[in-house]
Formats: sequence, structure tokens, C-alpha cells
Amino acid sequence: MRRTARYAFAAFAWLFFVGVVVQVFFAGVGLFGAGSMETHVSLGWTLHLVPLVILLLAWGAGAGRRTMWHAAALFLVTFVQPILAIMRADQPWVAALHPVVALGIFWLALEVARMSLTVVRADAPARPVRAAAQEA
Amino acid sequence: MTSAPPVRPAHDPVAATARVAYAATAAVFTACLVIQVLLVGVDAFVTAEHGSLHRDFAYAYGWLAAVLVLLASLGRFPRSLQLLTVLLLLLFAVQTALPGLATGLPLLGGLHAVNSLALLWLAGWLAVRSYPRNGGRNP
Repeated sequence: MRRTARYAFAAFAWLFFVGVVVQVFFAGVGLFGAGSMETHVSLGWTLHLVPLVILLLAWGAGAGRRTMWHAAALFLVTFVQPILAIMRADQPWVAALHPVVALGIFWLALEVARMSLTVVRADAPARPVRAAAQEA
Repeated sequence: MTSAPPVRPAHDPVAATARVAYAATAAVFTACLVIQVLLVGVDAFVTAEHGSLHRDFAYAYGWLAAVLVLLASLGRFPRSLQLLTVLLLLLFAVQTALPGLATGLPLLGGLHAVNSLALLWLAGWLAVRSYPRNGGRNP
């Protein structure tokens, strides 16, 4: 069960990271008028609660405290992100933080994805000493 | 990226000074990139100027990328760090060219946004890596 959670954690973490990069691409496409901003908005709401799944999987995978804190921070900033854009009418200066928070999400998503690989590696069986020595 | 060779202390005073200047310039450049991204939000949500603040600010600090290349050479940083600094300059040059190209091919506007992530990550990494406490300290 824990092993499945570890692989699922890594898969979701990396998929989310790719999703964030694609989301930024759609933002650029929308701003330059190559397409509608609707694609960016739709994908944003699709990604909105994925970090909650990542956080639960990290917990199920038995990830360390540092990974859990990063995953929790990722959930928090991703949850706030679309709400900032909604505030454009009443609080435009707060809404202006939307792209800066995106940078934070990008960095946290990359960190969590990298940490997920460490969690998966912890699950891998130890290599025989002779094989490791031959590789060196 | 994180497995790059350690930055050894410089014994030449010119190199030592260049290393401190590099770390400071890289930190300022990274901060400017964050402000640059904030200005996208200001243009989009506050002023509705469609990128004028964002565009003008880029010309105010872009030259720092070229200064970083010079300082990396003077500071005698490891080859990998010098090459990554050149890559930063190239990414910045591509970044400034993409909006103009996007008028003919608007999908390139999407790459402008994605390239900003790569730029910021690389600039931040170089700033952290060159920070004196991380190995770039003077003798």
C-alpha cells in the first residue's frame, strides 16, 4: 500500500509540475491574443485541488517532514492563486500578485516533484555491494 | 544542476572582488525578474496598459545579464558556472525577442511566459550558487 502511494505521489507531483508549466504557457498565449484566456482559466480550476491529493499521497507515502511542509505550502498557494485573479474588480493590486504567486507555485511544485523521487528511491531495494563497486 | 563543481575561493584580489560583485549582481538581477513578473500582473489587472510597464522595465536592467558574464570570467568561476551565465544571457536575449516575433506567430507568446520560468530559475540558482557562504567566498 505504501509503495503504491509512493509511486502515485511521484506521478502526481511530476504531472502537476508539467501542468503548471503548461498553465503558464496558456497564460502567455492568452495575453498575446493567440487564444482565449478561457483555456488558462479552465486548466487553473482543474489544477486547483490537485496539491491536496499530492499532500494526502505524501502522507500515505510516509514522506519526511520537510516534504510534507513543502506539499502543504504548495496546496496553500495553489488554493489562493485563482482567488487572487477573481479579486481583480475589487482589489486589483492584490490580483496583480497572481503571476508572482505563479512563480512560487512553480518553485514549490519543482521542489515537491524532486523530493518525491527521493521518497521513491527510498522504496527501491538496496543494490548488492559487488554491483555497486563494479559501477564505481 | 546541483552537482556542479564547488566554487573554490579566489586568491587573486581582482577575482575575489569580481565574485562578490557577481553574487550581488545575480541577486539584484533575480529580484528584477520577480518585479518584472509583478509588472505583468499590474499591467493586466491594474493599469490595463497591455505590457507597457513590463516592457519598459526589461530595458532598465537587462544589461546586468551581460555584466554577469563579464564578472563570471573575471571571478574565474568554474567553467560550468561561466557557461550557465552565458546561457542566462542567451535566455534573456531570446526573452526580449519573443514578443516581437509573437506579433507574427502569437503562439510564441506562450513561450515568452514559459521562458520567464527558466530565466528566473537559472538566475536564482546562480545567485544562490555564487553566494559567498556557498563556496564563492573570498580568501
